[in-house]
Amino acid sequence: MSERKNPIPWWGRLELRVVAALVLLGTLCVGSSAYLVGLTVSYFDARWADALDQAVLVTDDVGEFHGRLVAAKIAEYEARTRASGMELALGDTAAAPAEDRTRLLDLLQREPDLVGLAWVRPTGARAEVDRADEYPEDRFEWFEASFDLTLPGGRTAGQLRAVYRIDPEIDARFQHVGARRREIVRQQRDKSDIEAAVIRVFGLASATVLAFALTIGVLVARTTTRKVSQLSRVMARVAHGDLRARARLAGRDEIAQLGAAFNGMLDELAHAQDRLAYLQRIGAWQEMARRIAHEIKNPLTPILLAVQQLREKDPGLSPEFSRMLGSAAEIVEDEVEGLRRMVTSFSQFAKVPEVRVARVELARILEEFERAYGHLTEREADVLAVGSVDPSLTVDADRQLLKQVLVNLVENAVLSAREAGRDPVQVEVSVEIVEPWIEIRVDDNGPGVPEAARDRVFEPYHTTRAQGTGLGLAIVKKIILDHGGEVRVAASPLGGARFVVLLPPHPRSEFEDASASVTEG
Amino acid sequence: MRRRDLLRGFVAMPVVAVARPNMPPVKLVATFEEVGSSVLMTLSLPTLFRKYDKDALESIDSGFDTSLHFTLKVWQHGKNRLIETREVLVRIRRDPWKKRYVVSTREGGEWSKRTFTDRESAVAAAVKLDRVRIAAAAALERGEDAPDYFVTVFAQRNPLEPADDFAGSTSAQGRDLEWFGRLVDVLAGERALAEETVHVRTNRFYLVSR
Repeated sequence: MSERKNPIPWWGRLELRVVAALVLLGTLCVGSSAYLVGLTVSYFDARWADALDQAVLVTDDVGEFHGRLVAAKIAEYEARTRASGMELALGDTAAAPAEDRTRLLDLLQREPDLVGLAWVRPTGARAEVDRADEYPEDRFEWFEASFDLTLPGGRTAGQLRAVYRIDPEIDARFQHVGARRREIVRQQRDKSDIEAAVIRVFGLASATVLAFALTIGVLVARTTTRKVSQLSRVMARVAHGDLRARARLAGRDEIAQLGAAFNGMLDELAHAQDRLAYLQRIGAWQEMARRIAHEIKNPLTPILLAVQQLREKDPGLSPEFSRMLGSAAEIVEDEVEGLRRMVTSFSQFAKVPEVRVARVELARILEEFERAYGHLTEREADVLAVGSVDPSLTVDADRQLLKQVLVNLVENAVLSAREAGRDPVQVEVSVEIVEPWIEIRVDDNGPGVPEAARDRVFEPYHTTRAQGTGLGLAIVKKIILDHGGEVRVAASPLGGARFVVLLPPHPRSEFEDASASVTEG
Repeated sequence: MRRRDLLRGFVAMPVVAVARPNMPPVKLVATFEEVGSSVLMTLSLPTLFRKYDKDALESIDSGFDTSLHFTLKVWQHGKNRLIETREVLVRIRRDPWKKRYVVSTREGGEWSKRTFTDRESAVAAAVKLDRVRIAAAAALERGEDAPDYFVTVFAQRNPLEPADDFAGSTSAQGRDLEWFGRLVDVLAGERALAEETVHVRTNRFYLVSR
């Protein structure tokens, strides 16, 4: 059968619709999250901006105070220089300039942040003291102040120059504030960049999540829709009459279960079709057998009576004639008897009674069968073994017909084994529960049924035995099909054939109980 | 349109949206000279302090340090092979004690100091790499067959120390926040590295035969 072309365009397929729904859902979720994130960021952004403005104002204040501090320190250094100069001028004795250095040294020792002092007299004489080795200029900032020494009366005593060590802590702390201020200003300046970067990161993360969701969605949707599509294709093939089509759906989801149920339904349908076809064939054969039996049976009695009359009316004048007549009459009677037996078989086949089911213990059927047919053959060595069965195991069956089935199967087994020269003949009847069936097995040590012939062995008038009519197994199959069961043939562990009758268990609860008891027992 | 093309476009969308390449280096002319065993370079980067950048100039006058960080890399032309990397650090500030501008330069581990009475002169001196040693002459090949070289300069004004605001967290959310912060810094581009950045590639130079 050619594959039907799919008329659905790609944009109208279920797979794309499912994916589109997932994308839409994901976009809605991510969009909602983005909006909430935007609100949150805006809220904290306003708080942040306000805090940054306040921080900048604080650093501006620090800068202003630092300027005032520097100015105050400069004024202090100048004032201290002036005071030191006044002290030097007031105690000055121009007659003893050699003492200038001693007086400067005294001042230097009193002022711990003084790096050096220099006194330059109007005459050019210069006295200097310092401790530059303690405060080297490459490590400390210096500040230099000078004061003209003027004595009362207008006399000048020269100029005092003082160098002070600026406290490094002042600059260090100020620069520390400067570093913080730069960071704050940068935060203000880069606010828009950072916001844009945050949005990009969020967008990237959202896109990643969406892509991930899309990938998963595509995989899930494809897995699901492929199953649906395959199921749809199989249904289309079945609708076109291809009952062999089956859906192969992996997984354990609902669609896989649907596919399994659909396959089961197709199996049932095919089985029912086979059963119906077989029963129709059997029905046709039965009708033919009934007519043949009718047409043959009617003239047999007159033929037999006529032969008997001929034998009785023999005058006995000629021994030769009498001998020929007796021989001919005997032949005719034998053939008539053969025809009668065949007619009987045909009649039995044509008149297989209708199945009337009733709940019956399987053990009882087997017991009755063993009691009636336990002798099997006239030879003592031949063995019929009937297995034990749980007495509570019941089936809904026609007891007489089920016994007929066993008789036909056992007779077929015995005759096949005997024709094959088996000595002794072994036949075993056993019952097994193989869910969902109850199996009645008939094993023999005969020649068995070749695998190629197993499909035809139940067809009417098909036989592998020289003396067989080919009706016994056909009757068996018809009876079992009428019971809703099946019959199969396989190889037996005894070396011959195994005929397996499968009967449906009824009721279910009792089947389960029986199954449990068989397992235990 | 085929489904595969549609899918490719969709996948490429976030990449296109996020991509923000840094600006390529600007080409500037520098002068090179060989003095003794060193190769010196002179290059001015006035865009580090633009005249209309009022905040940057006022920051100098406020007394706070403004630092300039130069990263100089010498490359072999044609192969883009890195020959040497050197760092130069410059600080410029107004000295409120002495009412002057001080430019301090650290090159090769040693500090040198220059003072200026006006800001323009101090800024001009600060942004100029004046006869800076870029490599040892012995590290470069010389002669007609020798390759050309060039220098890339990545200059940053007030570079920022790597932020570690989110580092050290042991919780899962803290670690995620750390990665998030790093990603934001990366995507914010060079502007996140410093107040101002200048990326320069110089003209080529070579050493003559002796």
